Amino acid sequence: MSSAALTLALALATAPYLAAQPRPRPQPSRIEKFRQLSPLQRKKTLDALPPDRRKQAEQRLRELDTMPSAQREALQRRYDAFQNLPERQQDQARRAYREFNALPSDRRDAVHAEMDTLRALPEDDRAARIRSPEHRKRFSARERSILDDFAALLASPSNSDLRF
Amino acid sequence: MAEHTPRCPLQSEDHAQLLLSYCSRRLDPAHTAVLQRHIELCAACRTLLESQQLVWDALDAWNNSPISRDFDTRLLQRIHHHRGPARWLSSISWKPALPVAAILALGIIAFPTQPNTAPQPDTTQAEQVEGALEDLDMLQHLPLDVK
Repeated sequence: MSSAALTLALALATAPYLAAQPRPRPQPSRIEKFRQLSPLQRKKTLDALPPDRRKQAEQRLRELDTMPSAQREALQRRYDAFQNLPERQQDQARRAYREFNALPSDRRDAVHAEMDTLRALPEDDRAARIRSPEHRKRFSARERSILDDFAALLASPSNSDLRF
Repeated sequence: MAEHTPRCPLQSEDHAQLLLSYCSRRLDPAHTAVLQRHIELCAACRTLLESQQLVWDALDAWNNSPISRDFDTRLLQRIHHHRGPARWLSSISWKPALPVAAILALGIIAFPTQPNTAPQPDTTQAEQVEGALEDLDMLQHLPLDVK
């Protein structure tokens, strides 16, 4: 049996098993565990970070602490769903968000508005809008790259779990 | 007879040495004869001589233990043994440890240790929390869920 035939046979044999596998369970939330720590333990953990990053993490924790519980639980579910995305897509989202945050404030608002528009469109219309000359005129190459990544994430079947 | 008898040696320190020499049989014959005549008449000197004789008899009866031929060698070994820095080391047999040492050496050659580049546990935990917070921040601000 050639190696190609062997590979095909193995793929056919394992396909039903792989299809039947449940999706990975969401990882236990590190944040929830962290929020349950005492203030002293939290401080001790975050002290390992450089000062600027520690300050930002503390700010984000404060926002999370003061968030209404319903909103926090919804965010936690989205986070769990995000954890189930393939690693490549998670990295794509993070990259897009980093680029987005690096934009000037006014351009960030413009790109965010475009994201809202794209999210509301059917997939075909979304693709057509991104390819349009008007889109190219309104957004820089860097901004279009962010929007391309964002549209790709919206189009991903794995993203279905992010819908709530 | 008294004129031939010397003054009692016990009454003179100079003549006490005569008694000791007589007891050890080192006194010359002339003095020995004179002293013997005095002893026959002097009870104190007889008593002293009898006690001295007991001591000499005891010394004559005492036999030294024979010294073994390797006495010096063993004595030097014991001196060296007591001066050694770690006596317990010399009592250990290292032969059983040789195969273990050989296996360890092979293990080190086959699986050399890599420099530990992993971050410290505290840093890892902090970075995990930081990463999760960044993800939450992203999910708050990026409208990733499709309407």
